Amino acid sequence: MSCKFIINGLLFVGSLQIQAGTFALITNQGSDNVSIIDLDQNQVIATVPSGHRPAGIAVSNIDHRAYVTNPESKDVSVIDIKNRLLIKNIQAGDGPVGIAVHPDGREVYIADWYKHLIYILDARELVITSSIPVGHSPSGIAVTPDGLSMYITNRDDNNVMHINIPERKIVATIMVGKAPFGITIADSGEQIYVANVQSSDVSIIDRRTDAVIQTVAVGLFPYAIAHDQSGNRLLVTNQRDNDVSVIDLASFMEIKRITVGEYPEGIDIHPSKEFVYVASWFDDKVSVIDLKTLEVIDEIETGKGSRAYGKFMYTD
Amino acid sequence: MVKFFKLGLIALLLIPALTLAHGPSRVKVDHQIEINAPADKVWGIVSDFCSIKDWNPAVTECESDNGNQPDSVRVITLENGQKMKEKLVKFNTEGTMYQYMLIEPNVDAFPINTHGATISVKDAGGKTVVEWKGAFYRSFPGPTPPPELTDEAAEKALSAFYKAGLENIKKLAE
Repeated sequence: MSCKFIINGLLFVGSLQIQAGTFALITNQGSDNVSIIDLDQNQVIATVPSGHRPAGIAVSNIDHRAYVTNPESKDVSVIDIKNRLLIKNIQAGDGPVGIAVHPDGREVYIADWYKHLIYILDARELVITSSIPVGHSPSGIAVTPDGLSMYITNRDDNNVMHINIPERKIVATIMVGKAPFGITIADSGEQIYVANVQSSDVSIIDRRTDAVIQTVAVGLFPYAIAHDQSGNRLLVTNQRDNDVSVIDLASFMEIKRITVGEYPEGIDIHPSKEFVYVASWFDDKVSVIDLKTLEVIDEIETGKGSRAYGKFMYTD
Repeated sequence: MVKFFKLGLIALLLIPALTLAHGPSRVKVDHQIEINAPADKVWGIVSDFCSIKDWNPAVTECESDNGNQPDSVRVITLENGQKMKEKLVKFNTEGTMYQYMLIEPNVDAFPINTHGATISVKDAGGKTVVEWKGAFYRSFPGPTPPPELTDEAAEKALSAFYKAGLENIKKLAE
């Protein structure tokens, strides 16, 4: 009897393991969980619990983990993606929102919206080891591909800070538009893109000089940005226009709007560079945009209040 | 003198953080009502940006600076005398929807900071469905709001405001 139970249990666990492929992990604010979408089928194949009102996400392909910020339970959920399990919730200040993982997978950076700090989480020990005081209401974090720098947005100071990671030091403060939120770095590491919610534009920063080289007008209340290196363009979610702006990076002009769900938030690009995925908070769904045609080709129902604020692609 | 100057600077540094920061999680409010009247008639009742004083019993006064033109700003006065300033963001002249946003939060009116909402009127086979949906962040600038300033309290207050308006539109149209 007990033997049979154990065997069944093992089989059960075995069948739950995620197979190879590419997946989108979407935080669902209203359901307190994360949807795992298989991007070969565009279907939710698993749902993993998180803390209360999950918002931000950072995925590590090295550790097969997702780190999720829960601003209302004031903690970070560590999720084992392959086994679809919540490993641990780690207390993280007063209002963890933005989150990013270092390219080597060893550290995770968490922005505390209320305490104006960036926490450094040791990904091996799963403890917060130190913090860096920054500006008011830090909200977005992005790490350069070489792992040397992180750039963060301070929403209430209308600026971006460049932090040298090895030295744990702020090396530049760059004024941008009003209420900067989402931040994304080019695959090449050469440019930084910032969505300014209240001025409805995108600031483009040159990494060599840490200066804004262009400001491009987009839709109302832009939130987050995906960079398509091969197409040399940006895709920006406009919360109050229910669409995505496409910016051509050769001309620095908005060239198209793509209608998605209401209150689009998180946006990320498939590693194949063929598709972009947009989570729409009001409509509880993810829209799939084909980068060849710049049209929505599919919609995937998620949990309630899908946000996915951060880098949410996982490839195994 | 120097001390006062320093205090002034500190105050300047603190004020933006206190006034701008809001709750970390946006909250949804979404209500609709079915009305036994044609959509044209219903749109006639709700479409003027300041007609909210006629169809929402919780609003006693409304003044706008530019009618239904884009970026028109209305100041509404609630039953308790509190005022809110809101801007018209989109106005669909085909008679289906308008969108507005709060531009000057007033915690004594509603404990909300940013608030965007849409009122839409849809024909449903001779009947009409009016939907009022919006989203906001709580205005309390810290992680642990007192009970009257929580997401839940704000949602309850705003829901009641939406519902009262919708029910009265139905009454007026039918």
